[in-house]
Amino acid sequence: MLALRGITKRFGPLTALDAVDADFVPGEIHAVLGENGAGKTTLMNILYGLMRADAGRIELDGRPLRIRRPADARAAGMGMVHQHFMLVERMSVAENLALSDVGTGFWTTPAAAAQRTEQAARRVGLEVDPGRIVEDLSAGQRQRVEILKALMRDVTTLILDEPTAVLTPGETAALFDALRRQRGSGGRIVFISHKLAEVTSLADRVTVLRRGRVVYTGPAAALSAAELAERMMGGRETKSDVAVPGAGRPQAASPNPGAVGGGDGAAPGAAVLELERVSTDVGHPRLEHVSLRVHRGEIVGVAGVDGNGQAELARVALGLIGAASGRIHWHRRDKVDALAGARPAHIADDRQREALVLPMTVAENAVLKDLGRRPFSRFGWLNRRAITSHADALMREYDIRAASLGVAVATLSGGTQQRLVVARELAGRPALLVAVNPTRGLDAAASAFVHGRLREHGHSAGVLLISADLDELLALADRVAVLYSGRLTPLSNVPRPLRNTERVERVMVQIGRLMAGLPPSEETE
Amino acid sequence: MTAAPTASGGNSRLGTAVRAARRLVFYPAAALALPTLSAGVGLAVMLVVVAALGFPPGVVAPAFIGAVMGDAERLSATLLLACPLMIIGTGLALSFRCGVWNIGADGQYLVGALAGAATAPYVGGWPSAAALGACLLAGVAAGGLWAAVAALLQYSRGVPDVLATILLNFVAIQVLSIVVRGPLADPLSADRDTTAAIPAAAEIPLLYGPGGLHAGIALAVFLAAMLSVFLSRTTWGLRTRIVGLNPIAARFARIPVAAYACGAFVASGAMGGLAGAVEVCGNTHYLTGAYSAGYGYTAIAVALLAGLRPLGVIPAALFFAALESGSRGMQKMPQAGLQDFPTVLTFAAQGVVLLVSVLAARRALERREAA
Repeated sequence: MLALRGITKRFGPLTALDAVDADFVPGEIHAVLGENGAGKTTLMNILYGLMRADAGRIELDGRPLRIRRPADARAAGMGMVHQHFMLVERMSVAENLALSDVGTGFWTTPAAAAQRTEQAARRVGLEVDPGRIVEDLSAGQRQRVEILKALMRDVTTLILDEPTAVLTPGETAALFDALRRQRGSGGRIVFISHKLAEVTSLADRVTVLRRGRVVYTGPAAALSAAELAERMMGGRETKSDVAVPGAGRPQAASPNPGAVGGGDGAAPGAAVLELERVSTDVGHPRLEHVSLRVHRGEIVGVAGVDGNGQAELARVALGLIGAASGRIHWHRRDKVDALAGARPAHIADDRQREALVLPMTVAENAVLKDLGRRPFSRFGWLNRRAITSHADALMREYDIRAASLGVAVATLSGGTQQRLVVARELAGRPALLVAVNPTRGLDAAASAFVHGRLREHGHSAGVLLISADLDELLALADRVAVLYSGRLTPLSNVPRPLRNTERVERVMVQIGRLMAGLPPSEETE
Repeated sequence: MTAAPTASGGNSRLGTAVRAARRLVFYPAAALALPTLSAGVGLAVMLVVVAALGFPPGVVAPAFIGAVMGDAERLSATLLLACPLMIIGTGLALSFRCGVWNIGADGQYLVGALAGAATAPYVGGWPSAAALGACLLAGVAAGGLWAAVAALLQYSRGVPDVLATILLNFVAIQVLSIVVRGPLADPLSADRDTTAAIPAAAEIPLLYGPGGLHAGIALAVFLAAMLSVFLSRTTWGLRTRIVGLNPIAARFARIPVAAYACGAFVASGAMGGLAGAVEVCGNTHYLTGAYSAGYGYTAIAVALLAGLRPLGVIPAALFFAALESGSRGMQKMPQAGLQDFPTVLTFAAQGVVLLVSVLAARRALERREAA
């Protein structure tokens, strides 16, 4: 048995893995399930020697195993199939396999390589054509080559990182057949995924990670997909870093408590964003007939696992990609002040990529989106004094702890960076705020800050909160819908107060089923 | 806001003064440290190689300095070399800051020179300022258009900027050669490989007659200063930097990324073209079929050594010009034993300087990201 014991890994103030235990048993397919950022890949990188744990140990059959680099992991019989293929595109399948095959001597011939490839393929039961050039292969075929590459050495533990991310349904089914065969021959298979349906159909055992902690480990059959979804997205366990749900929020916001679907009747104010049957022709997956309304004074939550159109929906709401069909409308009549209305505000989960320019200063980043406006510039000339005093005011108001306005944003901690983004985006009191996983990667204090500001902003403006964190959604949103595979379910009101566990349970189960791509339970109010 | 870390962040006059002083002293010092280090290491390596070849450094160093700026004529020659490097390097600093890798300055320089030389005969009768202006504008337009071809290839067909620009260099060399031997050839020249001299009206006024030093160097310094102001003081300049540093965030900030990149691309090409026209109108006064002196490539090194700071381009261009003119002039220096001094050492030194500055810049970048 291969066992992980108390694996802990910290990145700065963030605990990526917190005393994680896991047991990988021969002849079993073990799924490691979790949201993006839950720590799955970090855990596998530690197991495979690509990273080192700060604490904890790895044991093989009761003996401690020292894995300092991938070569140690390979010597212990592990093979890893990365999410991104590591193949030489211009070479044939046989040549690629020969490259990593210890059986290939210095002198080899194409015929010998092809023969070895065919032998291995037959042994493992994966069909490949040794002569094909990798460039010409489909994603599924390439992955077969990758798996073969791993299995050609005597691998007892095969680690697959999100293996189905690039596969078609047919290819996925073929992969699963191959993995089941491999299990039959006594191998351990560790399978990283955030897709629930796969886990329930394939895995014998499942370990669910959430924010770096194991929240469930046990037989996969013991839990339904919906229950797994709940575990993965949270909600069951009470968490300290989410402020008391519903606090300070007028109950009048939900005059129709418990209603499922529709939702227009629950409108607390004028609509600020309307999507009507919006479909896109870019993105993966594409949005299909998404309808949504965000009103002033409410937070509309969109739940779901990343990669189901979350990024696309955010871009549509921000006006960065247009609709191929359907209608998008922003209502800007009732501007709050000069800065508001013109653009929806955006709090990104990947702030370093989408929201900030790291080498630039705090002051420059504070006005990144408002450069063309007075008083920050006049006739194209920057007004540094106005920029500095604006940034200075933001730093005070939002308690942004930077040494000065002139330091590069790259030198700030993740939480401080997000504070700066929140400050900048909310400064103009925009009518519409689009927040995407706004607390991802933040510690408890920074998360609480962001949640507080979102809740406050939701009193006067419309907030579209797209999140994979069910706790976050339940604590903040008035209405929640689920985005799965590019389709949005109708909005349900979030029951208030949240302490009414029975009703919360019911909503949770429904959301969990929807996130897993299952139809909602028949029983609705 | 906490009080502790912002001793200089308040509104007090003292704070303002401290900040101003820091900007004046600390910032340029930090900015200068890397280029100075690179240049120093380059020179040191050059001296070591020279010594290994049997030239005593004690003789070489003073001779080299003498060759660079021993008298007004030599200094003029150095400044003449610096002029195109400075103009092109300024343009490249702009494009690199915007994330556009324009490696085609040599081609843009050549078509600029060609356009200037081709325009000159038509404007010979105009008043001097108008004639010169027309030639320089022709160079600007030609260089800009040449870069626009590469920009078009990149943004409509996905041809990488590096590839498109470098390949257009070879096209430019051939175009120049064909035009100089054909339509523009001087009928009086024996080998038909030069154009006639441009009319006097299109010549750039001289600053120092005996050295042939023309006013182009003043233009070059002016342009570098202008770019510095543009990048630090204008919305377009700041957006240019944003696009260069994080195009994705730029898109989220609703900055038209492609428009800025194309603008920087064309502007840097226009600067290359201007440098070519300035060279024709100020220095050579005619074109030859093989006009490329590799300024477009050396200017890449200039921009990188300058850390892509426009004001840094001025000393960086002077440094590379000094390397070149020093090596060229060495053999003519009176000190004994320098007749066989290898001019090619310049290239070795340039390479070392470039490597050190690129490595050092990377180190600095990594440290910044790690922080």
